[in-house]
Amino acid sequence: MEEMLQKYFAEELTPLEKRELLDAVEKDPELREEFCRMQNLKAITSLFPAYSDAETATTRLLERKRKTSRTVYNRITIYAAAMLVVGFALWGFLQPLTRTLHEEPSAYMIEVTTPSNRTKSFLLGDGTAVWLNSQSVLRYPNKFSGKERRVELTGEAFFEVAPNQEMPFIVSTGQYDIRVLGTKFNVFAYKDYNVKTSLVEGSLEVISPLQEAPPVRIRPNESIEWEQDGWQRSLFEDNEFLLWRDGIYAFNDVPFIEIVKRLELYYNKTIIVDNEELEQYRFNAKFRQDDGLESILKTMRKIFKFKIDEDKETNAIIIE
Amino acid sequence: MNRVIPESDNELKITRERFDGIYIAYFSRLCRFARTYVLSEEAAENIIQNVFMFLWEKHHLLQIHTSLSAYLYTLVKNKCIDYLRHQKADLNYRAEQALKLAALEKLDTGLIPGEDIEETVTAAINKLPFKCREIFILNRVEGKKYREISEILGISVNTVENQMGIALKKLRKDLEHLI
Repeated sequence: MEEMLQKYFAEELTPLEKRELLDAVEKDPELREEFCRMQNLKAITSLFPAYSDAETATTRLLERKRKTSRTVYNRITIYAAAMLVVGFALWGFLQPLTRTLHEEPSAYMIEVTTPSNRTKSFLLGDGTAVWLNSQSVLRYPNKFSGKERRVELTGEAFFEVAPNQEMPFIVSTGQYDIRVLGTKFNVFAYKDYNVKTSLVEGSLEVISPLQEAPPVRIRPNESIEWEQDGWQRSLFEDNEFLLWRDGIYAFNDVPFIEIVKRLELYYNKTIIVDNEELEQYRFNAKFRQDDGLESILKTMRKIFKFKIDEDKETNAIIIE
Repeated sequence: MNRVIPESDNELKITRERFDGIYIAYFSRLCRFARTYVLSEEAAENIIQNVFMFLWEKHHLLQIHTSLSAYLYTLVKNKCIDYLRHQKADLNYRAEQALKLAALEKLDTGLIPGEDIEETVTAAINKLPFKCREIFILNRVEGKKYREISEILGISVNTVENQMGIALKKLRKDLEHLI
């Protein structure tokens, strides 16, 4: 029966099978309960954004506007006809009225934010897919127009840019701009950190914050960050650091203090470490975002003993 | 330029300038949501158009204290309940419609105060294994048939069905309190 329910909600049943299923559901209260749950599951998961959502909505919105503007226009022509009898002078008065009926949706910026301990993924108007890590903000226009597709990022995001040779895609961070045509890359750009760009596929250019310097191109599996007054390049061998998109934080041979700094960002907490040996101790670990900060710290404590306290006043976590 | 913040925005005001942005961000998804309860595409779209008409006309009177998405979602839910209660269905569909109404009346009674349904759902879907997530989205969000998905991904219809089963089990567990 479970299989039949699944098929019903996938709309894969024949009319006869459907009838049989509905009859069975009517008779069996338990099955009825399950039907309701699967129905509601289908409903709420359909709130997940689809590729074509913005396009469909824009078409409908324009249709709606055209309809309302047409009725207004009809009324205006009737008045106009009446007024023509009086004189042409009044017609001039009506002109600006008809001209203010706009057809295109207005241009505006959309801002997507993520709370702590949550990631989001969504599509931009051009089909570019974006994953946004915890505590991040992405600002982008509802519709890209002009010579470039520019977005603004604070925090961490992964982009799969829809190719468009004519309109480069540009990520503005607080420190420098990243320019691409169509590629996959990660940008780490939290406030007070060096902005680090890591290329997974394709190619990209970073634009120096110093005016005169030429743009710098990096290759797949290469990262680049801006350090005070120069570029610092590095290579990465695996994509584990990208697992945050699936809600997993992976640390490969990373000193405790570095891990703590990341956790502070992701969970929006202040963590004070007061143990030098521990600070430099290197961990190999993977955590699920959903486990929560406390559970992550407790897991690490099993490898290297330490004490966890919470400062009631400042809410900071103190590790000794 | 106007600024539209469709998410995490409390005590918000809907203005006519923001209307287009809100419409574009939510129209299609809300239609999809309504369509799972009402039995025709057209009825679903009418319900959502009416919701937006209401927003357009009454925007200056509205005081929204939840998030925008929570507000819209409740509005749509209530409109669908109204519709299902008053719509005289064809004899063939009467039983089905009664079931859908029963389901809708049970929906999200376990929502935690301050919880954003959209966020919870997105997080649950994004947590699915990669292939599973892809198949689930193609089927439930993009509306593709099992056969079409099997052709797009070059796998058997059976595999699609199995993966959907896995996805549904996981989601059902994660979203239990909402359904």
